[in-house]
Amino acid sequence: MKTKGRKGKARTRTRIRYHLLASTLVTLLFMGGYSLAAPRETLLKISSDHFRIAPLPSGIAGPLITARGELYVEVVTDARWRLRWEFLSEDYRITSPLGQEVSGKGARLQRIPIVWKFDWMTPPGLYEAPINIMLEIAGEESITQRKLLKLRVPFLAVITPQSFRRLRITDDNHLDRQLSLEIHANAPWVLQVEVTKSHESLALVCNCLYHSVATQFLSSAPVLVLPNQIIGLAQGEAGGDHRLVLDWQKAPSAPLRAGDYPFYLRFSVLPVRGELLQKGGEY
Amino acid sequence: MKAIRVLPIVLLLICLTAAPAFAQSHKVDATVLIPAELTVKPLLILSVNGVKDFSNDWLPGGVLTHSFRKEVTPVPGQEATYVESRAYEVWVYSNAPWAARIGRTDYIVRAARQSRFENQIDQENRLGFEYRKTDSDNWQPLNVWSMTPIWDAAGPTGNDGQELGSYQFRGVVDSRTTPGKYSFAVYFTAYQE
Repeated sequence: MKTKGRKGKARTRTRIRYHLLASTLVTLLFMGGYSLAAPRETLLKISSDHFRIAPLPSGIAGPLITARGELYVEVVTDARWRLRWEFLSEDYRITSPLGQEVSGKGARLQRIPIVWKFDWMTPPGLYEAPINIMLEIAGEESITQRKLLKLRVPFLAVITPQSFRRLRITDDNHLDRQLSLEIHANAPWVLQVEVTKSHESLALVCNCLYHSVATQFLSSAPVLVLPNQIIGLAQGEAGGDHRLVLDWQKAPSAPLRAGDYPFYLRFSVLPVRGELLQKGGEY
Repeated sequence: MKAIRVLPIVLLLICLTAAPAFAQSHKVDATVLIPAELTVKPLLILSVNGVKDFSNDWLPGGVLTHSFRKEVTPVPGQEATYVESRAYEVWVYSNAPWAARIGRTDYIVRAARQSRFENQIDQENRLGFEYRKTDSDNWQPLNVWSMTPIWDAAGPTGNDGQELGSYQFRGVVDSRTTPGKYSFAVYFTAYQE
């Protein structure tokens, strides 16, 4: 009997220990979870989208390129608040049209537009810039979160012709057959030309009358350009100081009947990826 | 029912076909399309014995003349004698349909210290003119200020030009022809049509 009574007590103690252990675990887990998801932090939720580079229309190549992005800040409070932000990188031209802060009252999804400007010497690649977002609520300690703004810069290039008027190639008018091009690119580039939508017997000779120091015309002699053949004309390094004046004439060998021959000159700027450039056919 | 089963496959195929085109449209190169127009003006070159005459803007076609001066002494009783010119090698270069003509100017005859034009000479005393291709014995009459056809081409000559051949003139003198020095010019004319 004595033995039975001892066993019962021992079981009871074990149960109590288990209960204590389980209660402690539950309490610890609860406390731990509570501290991990601090309610103060949930007052501020930040998300962002990718930066979009503004379209680069031909003919309007400025010294700076603009990329736009947005931060979405969710403020969860009933009180008055002030949201401030600070761009931590001084190397980049990053601003917001809203300035540096915005204030409000109550819960709100605040959009912060961000403008990231860079010049033509910025090579293609992924750029990162940290930003601090601070939420101040009256009577409470401010909350700060850091976010990394990411901008992916692709190869960018703009060809700016002196005008988009029709190029008139005749034997007697030297000015109407000349074309001036400006090229901006953020990496080493090559300029190609193709004669399209033309009479099949058309043959042109392209001569470079002028090129800026930073620009290299690929041929020392006039270049023969035949329809639907892509010819490399010039190349250069990254930057915006590239200008070419090209003179176009009918190739003397072209057996063309008297008349008018409309066509298009398609100029393309491509990045040079370390490949050897194919020189245009010298005439 | 069959069509409904096939429809998803067709849609999938369309999507797969369109995907590369979509990727292509995301090329990052810069492209500019410049409209242009090449104007090829009518050009006609007439070459006679290597001397070239170029057409110009106000007169389509070229004119080349060669003076031809001969002293004629009719032989009494001789029905016809001939005074021949040298041969003229004629080439034409044209980038449009063209035609070539041959002719001669009227002449001046200087005799007995007097100069008279062709129309001032009695009809019976006149000098006759003929031409031929040198590879032919067939002499043709060549009237004053005539535009005698020697070639009509429906298309351009191409860069190599068109050889018209070698031509020769001669004056026909009979016993009634007024003696004297006859000066005139033969000409080749080409024009574009």
